[in-house]
Amino acid sequence: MKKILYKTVLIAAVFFAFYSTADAGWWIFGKSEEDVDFEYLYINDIAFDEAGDVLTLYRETLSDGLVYIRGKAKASGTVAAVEISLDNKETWNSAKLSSGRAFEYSFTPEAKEYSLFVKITETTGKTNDIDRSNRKIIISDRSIITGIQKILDDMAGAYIQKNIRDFMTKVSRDFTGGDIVLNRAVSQDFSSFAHLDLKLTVASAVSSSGGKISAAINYSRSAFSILTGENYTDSGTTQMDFKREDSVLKLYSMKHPLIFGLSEADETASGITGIGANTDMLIITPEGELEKLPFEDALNKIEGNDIAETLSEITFVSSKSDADGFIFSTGEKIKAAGLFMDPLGSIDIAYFEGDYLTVNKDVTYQMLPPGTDIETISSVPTSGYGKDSDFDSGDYHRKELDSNIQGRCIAFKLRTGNYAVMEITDYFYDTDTLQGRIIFRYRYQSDGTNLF
Amino acid sequence: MNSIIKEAAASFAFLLVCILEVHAGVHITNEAQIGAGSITGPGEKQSVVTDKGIFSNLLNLNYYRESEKLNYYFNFSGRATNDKSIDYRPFSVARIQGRLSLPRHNFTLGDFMESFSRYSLGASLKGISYSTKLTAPLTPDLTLIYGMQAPRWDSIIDPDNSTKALKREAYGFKISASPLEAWNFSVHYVNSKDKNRIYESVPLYDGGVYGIGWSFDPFAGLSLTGETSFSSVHLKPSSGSLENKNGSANRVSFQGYGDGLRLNLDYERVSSNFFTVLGAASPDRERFRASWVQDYGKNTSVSYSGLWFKDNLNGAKNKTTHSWRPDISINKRLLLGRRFASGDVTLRTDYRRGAVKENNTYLDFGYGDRLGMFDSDTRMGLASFSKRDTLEYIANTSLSWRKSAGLFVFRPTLRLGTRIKDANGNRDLINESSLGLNADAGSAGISTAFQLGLNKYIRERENDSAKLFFNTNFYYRPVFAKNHTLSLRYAVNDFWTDHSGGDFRENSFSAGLNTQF
Repeated sequence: MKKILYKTVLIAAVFFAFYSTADAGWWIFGKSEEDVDFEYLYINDIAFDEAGDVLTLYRETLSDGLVYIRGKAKASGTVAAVEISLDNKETWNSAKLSSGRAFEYSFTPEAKEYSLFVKITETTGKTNDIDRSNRKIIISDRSIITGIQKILDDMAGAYIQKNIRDFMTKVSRDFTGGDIVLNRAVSQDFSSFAHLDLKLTVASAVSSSGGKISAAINYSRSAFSILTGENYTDSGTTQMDFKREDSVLKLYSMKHPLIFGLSEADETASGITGIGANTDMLIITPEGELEKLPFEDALNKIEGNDIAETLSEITFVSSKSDADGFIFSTGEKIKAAGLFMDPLGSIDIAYFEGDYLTVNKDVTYQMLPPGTDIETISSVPTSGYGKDSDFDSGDYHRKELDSNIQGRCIAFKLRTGNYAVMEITDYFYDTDTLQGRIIFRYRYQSDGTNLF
Repeated sequence: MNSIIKEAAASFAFLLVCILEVHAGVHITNEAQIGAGSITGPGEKQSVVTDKGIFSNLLNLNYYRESEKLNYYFNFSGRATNDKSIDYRPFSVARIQGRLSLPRHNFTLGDFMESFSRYSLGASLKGISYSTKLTAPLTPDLTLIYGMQAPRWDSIIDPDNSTKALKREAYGFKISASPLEAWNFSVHYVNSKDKNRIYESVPLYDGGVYGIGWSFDPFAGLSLTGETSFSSVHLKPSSGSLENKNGSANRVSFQGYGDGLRLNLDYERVSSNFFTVLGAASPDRERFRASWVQDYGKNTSVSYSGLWFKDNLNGAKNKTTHSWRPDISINKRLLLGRRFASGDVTLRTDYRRGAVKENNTYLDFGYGDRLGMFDSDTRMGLASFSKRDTLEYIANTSLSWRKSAGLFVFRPTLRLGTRIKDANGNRDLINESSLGLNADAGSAGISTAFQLGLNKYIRERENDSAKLFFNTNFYYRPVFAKNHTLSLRYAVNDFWTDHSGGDFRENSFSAGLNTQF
């Protein structure tokens, strides 16, 4: 609560540092009170400052088929008239002016370019800086479907060419999920596939009066994985939204199935297009590998809190010099260094000798209650983890094993603070040879929570 | 074929009705295309080209009528195609919309898109919307909506296995007013309910988002906006108990500009439990962004910006991840006193600390100039990604030339690019090159382009591959019929890889006719 209060005060301080009833406080922004100007100006609900130098409007999106110029005049004296020119100041037309200085002008456009100027005249004859009000308005008779198709073709081209700079010029600063996240994700996408073929077709597009467009898009995609050389294809329907920025339409949000930014799909997608045509989906795993999964499985993998698990069995066979080791975060079974050699390094657990599990010095554990089922467990405790007091070398410690361990679950708190849970499904130990075998299943949660 | 005939007959009948009515405006555009493709080689299954004859037709009809008291407008867009990669139904409706406007009242039936606020509603629906714009002082504006969110009309009407979709029914309102000069306040509420579950693992949502928005625009050059919204949404899984998502989202934005200066400040906090179905928000995030663009004279500008955000607002995660992205960019024209020279340099870093540790750095240079008769544009960049221990070097350049000969203006362009990626000690090299030629005769309505190129991927560990490509297109808009454009396109891509079974060649040809009247 305190932090929110501090931040609110900070924002307010920035605001009031510039705000003052005295003119001198505002000299950085806008114009001084004495100037004749417009306080705000909208072209069909698009703010003048956001319109850019050239504003393209699609005729089919015009309310009533009209273009509206709406604004509010400002002057120290009385505003006598507001006039609009659409032909580069050759002719002027009067706008409706209200007593509150609001003005409005509308016209039925043809499919051509208009050069807009706004002239505000005081009763003293003083006018605003007319040239500053200039905007080029292009009325297009093309369907917005065609307009969005062009944007998509350009984006797909930049993505296929792995041109991140060109691609990001088509992404809004307000991209849901963060343009920086999309930038990072797309850069990482480029490292995962080669020879991408992508066909995007706008199935439908609808616009709002404020210049946002929502489009349903049919896609077909074929990609080679850089890591494996395998080719994957998928197709379906997705949705993207676009908003006007710097006079052009830019990508504002995307839904699953994702076309761009697969490397951080949980951050870049803001929803799901639930339609029967979406049967499979390409994803990129955290390791950067391209994979094709059934649609629901892909969503689970992306949105299922990044739970990595194998409920197939992993077998450890003990060895003093060539022990099996395991890393929960990657699911790798690798050879650990020999006993009494260096600490386990990045390995979480290893099986050197028969009656105990060797555990990394930075990993702690606790036994879960008998009867805990690894397949249905929903969480592990957040406290109560420790090391076996019977043996702790400082470099590693041990968890003693016996026949009662079979069927039991052990929860681990790893070096990173993440949690894992392991179920030992089979345990065998030969007291003569001091060698044994462990078979286990595991689940690993990478997002830092204790939830499974 | 039957569906195409039906579509054509319906359009003609509609046109006839429109022409007969006086004071009506009618506009029709039609984009028709036929084509053919072929794929050969052992790797042919990797191509997305359609290996047969195809056609596609997009028809767009606009009708509007104005009078002093009543305006109405109708739009219909429909597509017919036999290419399943364009659409899996031979005939589909892209958009239907009817609008009725009285002096201060507007009704929209069919496809519409209203934007109440960032967090509550910013999606397209199929239904009805009503809005007022009452110009009397202190009288609020009202917008009401009711509709279904579905990707296609045939997801609602006569769906089949491909088009069946989740049905999301929504209703809501927004009231806005300007009780004080330069101030505007609004209240919004949007409720939605899901039906027709498609995926077992995706819950159905039922609930709404409500809140207030405000803006303060004291004069041109200064603007402050904000919004506070609350969500009350139930998630219904296919089995198990309901989950409630009751949370809040807040944001404040400041925009200021003056002579040579643009300043933007944004603050946002979206709680972990905030959930919006028809709006846009990233839950469990607190974010602050600042950007300052300063012009130094007419030819130089410098931009500074910084972004910070963090997660774990409710403390549920073991660690909080903080992300920072500062960057600085300098743009200069008339570089080194050269009339056509411009340069830019950008340094950007991207840090994450917490549950994830990551440092990425990007350094880009750009330089454009006219060298004799050639226009050049060169970009170089260096990027390092700590997560995959990767360093990337990028360099690309283009040289273009413009030459007029009679009616035609020729623009040949040579593009060369190299990308070297060093990942975990393995080096991959990508070389891209292409030669293009644009030839335009604007007065004759002709525009053509040719491009020939070769992309090679040389990988240290994995298979090498290459793509040789050629494409050309031709557009003709007759002077005597400027509302019609003929287009011809041809492309061939030849893929080669040094792993067996991967080679293939794809050819595609299309001819199109765009008409409007």
